[in-house]
Amino acid sequence: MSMTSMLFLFLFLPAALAVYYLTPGRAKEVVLLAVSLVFYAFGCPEYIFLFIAAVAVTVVLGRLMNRSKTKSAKRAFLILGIFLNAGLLVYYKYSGFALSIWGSVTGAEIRLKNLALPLGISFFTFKAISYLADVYKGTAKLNKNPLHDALYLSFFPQVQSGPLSRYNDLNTWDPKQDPKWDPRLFTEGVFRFLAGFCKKILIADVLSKVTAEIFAAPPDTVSMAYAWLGAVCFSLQLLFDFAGYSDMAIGISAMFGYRCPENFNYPYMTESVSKFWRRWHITLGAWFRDYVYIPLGGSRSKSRSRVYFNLLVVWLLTGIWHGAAWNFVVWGLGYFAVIAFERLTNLPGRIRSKWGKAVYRVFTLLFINFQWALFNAKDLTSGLQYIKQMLIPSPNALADARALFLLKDYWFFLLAAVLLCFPVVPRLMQKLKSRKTARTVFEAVLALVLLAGFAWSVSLVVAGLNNPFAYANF
Amino acid sequence: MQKEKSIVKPLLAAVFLLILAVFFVKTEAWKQFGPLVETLKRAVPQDQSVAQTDPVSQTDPAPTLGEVEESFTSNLWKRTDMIDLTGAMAKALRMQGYYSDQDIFIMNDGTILDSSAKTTTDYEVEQTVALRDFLAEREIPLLYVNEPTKYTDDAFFTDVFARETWSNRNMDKFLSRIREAGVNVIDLRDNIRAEGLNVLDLFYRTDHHWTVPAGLWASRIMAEGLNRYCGYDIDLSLFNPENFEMKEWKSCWLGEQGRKVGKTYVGLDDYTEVKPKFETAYTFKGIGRLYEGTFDDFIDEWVYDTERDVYESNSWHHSYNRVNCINHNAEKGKLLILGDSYEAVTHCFLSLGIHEVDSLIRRDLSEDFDLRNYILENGYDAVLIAYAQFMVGGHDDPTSSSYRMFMF
Repeated sequence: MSMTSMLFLFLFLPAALAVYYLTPGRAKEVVLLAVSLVFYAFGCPEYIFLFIAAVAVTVVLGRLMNRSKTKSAKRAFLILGIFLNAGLLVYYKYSGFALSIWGSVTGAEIRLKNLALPLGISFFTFKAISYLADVYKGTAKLNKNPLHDALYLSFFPQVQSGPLSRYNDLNTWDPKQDPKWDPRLFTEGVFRFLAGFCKKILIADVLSKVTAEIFAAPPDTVSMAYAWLGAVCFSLQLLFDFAGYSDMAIGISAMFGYRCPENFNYPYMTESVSKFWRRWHITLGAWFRDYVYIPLGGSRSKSRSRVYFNLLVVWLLTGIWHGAAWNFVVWGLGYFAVIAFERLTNLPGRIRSKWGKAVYRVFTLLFINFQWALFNAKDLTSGLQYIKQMLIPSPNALADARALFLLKDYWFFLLAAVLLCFPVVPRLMQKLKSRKTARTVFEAVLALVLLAGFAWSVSLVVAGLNNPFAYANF
Repeated sequence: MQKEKSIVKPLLAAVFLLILAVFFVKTEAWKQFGPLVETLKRAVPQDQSVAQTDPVSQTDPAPTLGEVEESFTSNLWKRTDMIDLTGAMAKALRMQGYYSDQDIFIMNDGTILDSSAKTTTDYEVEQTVALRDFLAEREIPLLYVNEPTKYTDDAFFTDVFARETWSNRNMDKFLSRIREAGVNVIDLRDNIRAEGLNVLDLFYRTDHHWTVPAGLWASRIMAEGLNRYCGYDIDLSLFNPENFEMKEWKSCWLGEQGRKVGKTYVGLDDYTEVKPKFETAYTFKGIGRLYEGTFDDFIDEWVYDTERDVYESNSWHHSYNRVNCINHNAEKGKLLILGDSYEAVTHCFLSLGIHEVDSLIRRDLSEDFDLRNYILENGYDAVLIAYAQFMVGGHDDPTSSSYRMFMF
């Protein structure tokens, strides 16, 4: 069930909120777990039993690990848990890709299974591994009730596409006390949900019409202008799609009284490629840092080559995590190459002049833009061809005219998207901090804009002009 | 998240909760709990042996979540107001290709156009020529009539929307190939050009169908073609406009495409009803019964309800019905029309000059339907294929509603 569907908005969400807040005391979490499982079952009925089994096994292993006295027993449970969870991910997401590589290497004819992906399996696996690793390290403060652990793994706003919260993030309440209604958290949640809904429907889904059309064209036929328009629109679409989803997930979590980590921080304002990943999908970057990069030795390895090897592993995994195809592998390696270069030369840090910094920012954005073009291509060859079209002029009067037509049609949404890449609203709020009345008026205007945007967004969904979340199949 | 106290955010939250509650109640959202629970049956793998023997499990599978969502959204409270809101915003922003993924392109005056992909025409040519050969062996003449779309030159569409369409070029290719193979052809685009008509005047702005007067105009040309190629002797003066009563409604209905984009975007369409002034006498071949009547019985005038919501009312275009009929005022001819929805308004007009007219829409029949046997069993003396030109290419896409149109 998509969080932008009318069924979710006007049936599931109000019903879930009503049942949750009408349930007394600590039974709330049991209700929320049941609601989360029902949400998963609606979205992915064919894998609901697999999902329940995966959650149950992970929680049992976590609890057994916690009770274990010896380090070796803990390690055994950790390895078993990671093996089982990663095994599921590999089987469902990567077996087809692996078999196709095997087939092309050996020449054997292999019939691919074309397995449907269980909903949110990449996110679930990473949360399960972080849960097990945190219990192993002793950093997870386990709640008395194992159902709380199950809720952490299956919490419905985050189950499809994150954010990749940690176990302790869900410990909003003192475990000895009953969950309490937190009106401020709730109202902030509504605000974030509405903002996310508008970002997703009004910007991402509208711009997706441009990108879908342009990326569907044979890459060798698109003109330079048409290709650039497609790439820029995709960069904006993906940001507002995923950031919109994250806002909605954070907002819904807050409506149920749980805090959720931030996932985006105006990523296209970045100064360098390395810093981009501290602003984009922040929880994924943090996950790779804490559970792959640091365990491998991180930056503290004495050997410089080892540090770069660690980086290579992280970026290869990041690429493959995003998709089981060669373009994602090359996409990950692209980030490795530039981030390794930035680390090796410390170029972004060494640039002192304002203009130099600006030039490097432009380079960074261009690089990210090319990377997204590769990311969105149907395969590596198409992606490389698309980038070639962006760089080398190839005359196609009709494509150029079409690019102009699309710009004329979608200028409003493009402009809004570009403006919202900058922290316009937080800066204005900051400026009005000391002027209470002006701030209240500004907030009221913002609330009205949000409500109007929400109405417009709902109307677009009703008119059938929305799309699934871009990260929904990861 | 902000930590400062604010009165606005609690108010916003209250309004949001109110909106959820009102929509929940007004849409009667709770009625979806049953269908939603049904979808969960899909969690349990079906026993194939039971599914094969149990007719209920074959015909009534658990609904998908998508089906429940679609049903819920289409019954959402204020749904049509929301479609209007989308349309109003798109119009305010002067967006012409906003609905292009639904193959809807909107001109400045609100006229909706659509496009066609390039096709080889191989399948359609092969099927049409094979049918002609079959009929020729039995001395039954065949006439193919091309019914235009809203533009007779693909360059027109490309100039306005900067996008390629192949509708007319596909048709040029198809018609030249079947002409070469000896099939009798009338291309209504030639008549439009020869008479200096504006093709857009023949169509509704918010619907892909042609108007009733356009159907009358086309019927005369079809009758002329039947006389020329099929040995008919239809009195062409029957189709003179002065023989018909025309009743006009202004801004009264919204076409099928218009309903998707909203009346605020494209406005409402006009409508003209056309009925002969002269007396008519028919026997209609209804489902399972014959009944007597006049030309008026082709028309469901209850459709012309100006009080009803334009989104909820029947498409006015469909007030004319294709009903197999015997015209007691005409002595000759037993014609089978293989047509599409354009024939709602040509079947009845053509029947004014022919003794017996039946029509079929091939896509409404199963793949197994034996058309050739049907023609022989019913003893037709001519077959007329009258298709809108976007039917050519339908067979390229198995999910297309036009996929079976050329299965002759």
